[in-house]
Amino acid sequence: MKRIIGLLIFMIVLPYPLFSQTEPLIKWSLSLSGGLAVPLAAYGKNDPEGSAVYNTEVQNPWIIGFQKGRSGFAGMGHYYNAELKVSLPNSIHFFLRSGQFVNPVTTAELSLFLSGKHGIEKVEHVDYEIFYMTPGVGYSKTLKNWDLGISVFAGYAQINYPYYRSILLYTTTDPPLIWGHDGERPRLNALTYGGGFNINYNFTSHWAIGLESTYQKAAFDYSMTTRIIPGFTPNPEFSDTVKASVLNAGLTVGYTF
Amino acid sequence: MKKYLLSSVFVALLFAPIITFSQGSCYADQSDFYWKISQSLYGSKRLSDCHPNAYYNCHGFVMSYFENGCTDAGWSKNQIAAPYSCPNNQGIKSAGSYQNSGKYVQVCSEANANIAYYKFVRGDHSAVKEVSAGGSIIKYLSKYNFDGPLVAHNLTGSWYHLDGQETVPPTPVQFWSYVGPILGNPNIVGLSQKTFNVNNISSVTYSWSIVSGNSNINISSASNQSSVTLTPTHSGTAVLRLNVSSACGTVKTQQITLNIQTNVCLEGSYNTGSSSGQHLYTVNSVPVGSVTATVTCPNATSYTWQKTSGTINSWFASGANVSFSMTSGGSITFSVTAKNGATTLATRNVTFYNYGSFMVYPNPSTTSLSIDVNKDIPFTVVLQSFDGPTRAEIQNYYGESKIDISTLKPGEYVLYIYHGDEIINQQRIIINK
Repeated sequence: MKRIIGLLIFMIVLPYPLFSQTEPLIKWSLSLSGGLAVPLAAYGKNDPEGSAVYNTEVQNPWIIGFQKGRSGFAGMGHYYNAELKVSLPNSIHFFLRSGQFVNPVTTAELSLFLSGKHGIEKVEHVDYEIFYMTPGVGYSKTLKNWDLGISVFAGYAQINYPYYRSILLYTTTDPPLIWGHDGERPRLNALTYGGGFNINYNFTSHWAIGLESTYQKAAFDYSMTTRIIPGFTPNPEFSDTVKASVLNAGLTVGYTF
Repeated sequence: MKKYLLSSVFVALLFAPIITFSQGSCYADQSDFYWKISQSLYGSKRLSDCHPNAYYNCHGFVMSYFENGCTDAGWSKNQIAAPYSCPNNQGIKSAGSYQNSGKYVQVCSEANANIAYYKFVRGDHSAVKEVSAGGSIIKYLSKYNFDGPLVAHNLTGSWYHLDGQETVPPTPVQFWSYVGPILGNPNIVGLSQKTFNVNNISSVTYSWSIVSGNSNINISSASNQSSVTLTPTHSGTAVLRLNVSSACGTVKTQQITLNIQTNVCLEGSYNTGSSSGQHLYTVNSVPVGSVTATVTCPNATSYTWQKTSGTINSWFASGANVSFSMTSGGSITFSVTAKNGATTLATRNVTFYNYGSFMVYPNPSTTSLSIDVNKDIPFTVVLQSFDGPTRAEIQNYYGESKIDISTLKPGEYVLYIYHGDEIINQQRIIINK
């Protein structure tokens, strides 16, 4: 994290001496944005059967989890983002983005799948909450009051542990038994990268509103050990990857200093 | 100010809250009601409460019970103060941990078993069988994982059965019995017979074998017994293997390594270019190349080597070791003596020889042939024609001497060379006229 911040400061400060003898054409701006987070590829896939992981150490294997790398079960979510940008006279700009996108997880198919195998069950899953902080570089073109821009970025991302559990409603204990991960649930870290474009309208010399769309990816490795709680032996641990892949589309509002 | 605002936004995002569920060692509800424990209703009884220090599951409890001397709870006893006493407990194990260890075997009937193994819809369970009151009370001891209590119950009266986890019919999938480890001292000293054994279980087949170091020790007892008697013959190591099985399940295997020290004076071994640790017999067949032999003798302070016969003239002795280079068809005999000071402890003759190259010359042959074999060792040579009953046998053949084949019909023959009763070489030759 320190390295990323240091690199960012270096990137921002470096252009100053180059242009300090001319007009103050370096512009600083801060913008906020938010909108929809659309899951793509395996992240948004919803295939319980194709992603089920089985305990292969026993004669008749039973399910011990789901490979999120094959099906993320992510649903349509939202994102919010803050961006600090420094624009140079040559239409190049550097920026630091930070924000979070949140995707709820579709559990109906999972519940149906497990219920079909064992008896009535209800699956619960925490939302995917992915925080990111990414420096980047972009190119902007100004046409009267309109700014068009494209950008690429790469940086750091963190997600909450992709915890899920199934309530075994077919059992007779009160409360019913729970099937789920039994162990530590650390937050997961990964490299994230992506790109996007934006179009802004400057309705004053300081304020602008616009639209933006970004595509962002990150792969979070984790391991999971499920069991039925209480009273059952832990299943073998398995490793998996949450392959987050989202298309964010939303509104921006910005202020130029 | 702006920077502070900006920093605040980032910090707020960084520490965004996440949803988690609570977890603990013992399950929150430890009541008899939850775990369905009732002597009057289900025939079950709590033997020990859950305790964080009793961190083992059902399979781990089975292994601890038999292998680590857990305190015998027993149906007739009162509840044992938690944690249930399992010193050096096995922790969390899978069923395969004990079922594939070789120390447990699947049996066909409950009568021969002391473990019940259950398979549920999405899990499995093991319980220890206990018999008390002269056999009139049979109960199974189940540890409901590390987060549940230890309970004695009827064969199909565990919490898993009562909770609806079991498929229909609710019976154990398998019965298992504890064979135990191979018991006996693996460090064998002397030549006296040693006995090793495991638990004797009715209907179980026992198969003992020596899988390596066969020349160091022999099995001298009858087959299919829960014990085995071994007779050491040479110093070295050997591996004793036991396969156990019944009419149900698969063969289970365990083995131990034996370290044998016979303490026989002037016992030894030798190394060649292609093998090492070969036993030193009175007569030893070795390949062409370097040979180094070593002898041992308890209490010996010096060794002397003396060549007594043979075609090899160059050799080197140092203490208990002798080395030389074996030639094709060569031989050498030593007399080795072990002494303690001036006192002779033992003397032994040791011969090394090489069979030779077995080259037949001339080939094709017309009236006679010779074979490049050792000139000091008697061989038996047999000629057997390919296409007929023609057969010739030559006893006491020594290297370089000639074999008369003038009376044999021309054709292809197989030439067999015997040393004693063993065929040591065979090859195809042609006889022309």
